[in-house]
Amino acid sequence: MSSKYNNLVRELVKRSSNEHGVVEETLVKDVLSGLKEGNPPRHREILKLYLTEIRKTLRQQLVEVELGCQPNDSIISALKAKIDDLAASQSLELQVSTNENLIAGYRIRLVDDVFEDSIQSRLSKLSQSFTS
Amino acid sequence: MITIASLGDTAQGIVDTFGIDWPMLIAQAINFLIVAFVIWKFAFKNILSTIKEREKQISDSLSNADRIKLELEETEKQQQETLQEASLAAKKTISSAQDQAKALIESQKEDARKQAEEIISKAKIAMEQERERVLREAREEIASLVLLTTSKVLSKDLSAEEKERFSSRATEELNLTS
Repeated sequence: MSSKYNNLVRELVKRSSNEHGVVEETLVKDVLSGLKEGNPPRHREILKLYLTEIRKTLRQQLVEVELGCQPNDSIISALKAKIDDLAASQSLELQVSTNENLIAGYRIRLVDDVFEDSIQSRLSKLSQSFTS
Repeated sequence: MITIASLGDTAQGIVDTFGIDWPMLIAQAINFLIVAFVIWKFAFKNILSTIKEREKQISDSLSNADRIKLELEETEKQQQETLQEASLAAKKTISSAQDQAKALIESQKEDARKQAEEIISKAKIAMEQERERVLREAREEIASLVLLTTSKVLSKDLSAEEKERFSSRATEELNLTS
């Protein structure tokens, strides 16, 4: 079932993204209204697959950044520059938030990878070195 | 002739003196012989046979008694030998039992010693493991407390500017390709 509609769903996700490959809400709405009008057979399964793919794409396009201090332009621009260097061909959206538990420093979640350099992580490493 | 005649006279004199009546004497002699024959035939022979039988019995009894005496002696001798053998066997058995008992005691002592050593060894290992566990827990606890305290102190004592400076420097050092 899923393999049968894979190409269709992939095409729908493509149509939901702008010229930079970023998923946009308006485009998604357009796709959904198109699906509603066309009412293809087994549209429930197609919608489920489309939702899964959109979530996956959004997760891949989203970079979650947690900072131990209040976000400022210099830090965010420096981070953006580094992330753009990493994924030049892909448009990524930065979601910046403050996490006081970090005390100072950052934690970046990029798809399945987590990069962290904070006072909290350094203290944790120090603590682990005592116990190991 | 004269002599013979004198001897005849002498005999006649004796006969006269003792009053021998020849016919009576002969009759008595015949009676005696008949009685003697009857006695010999019907009584004396049986008595002799009985006597012989008794003699034989006595003789047999004596020989039996001798045989029994010999057998008794032999039996006593055998009994003595048996007793001696039994005594020796008993001594051997006792000695063997004593040896076995000694060996068993030694073996049990050895087993007990080994068990004691094993118990001590296990106890030492357990003590060591317990000590390690306590130390590890103490280290973890101390590290946790240090971490908690330091975190609290730092989050309280660090100014916003210091936090920003640290974050900025960390961002500069960030290397996403690694």
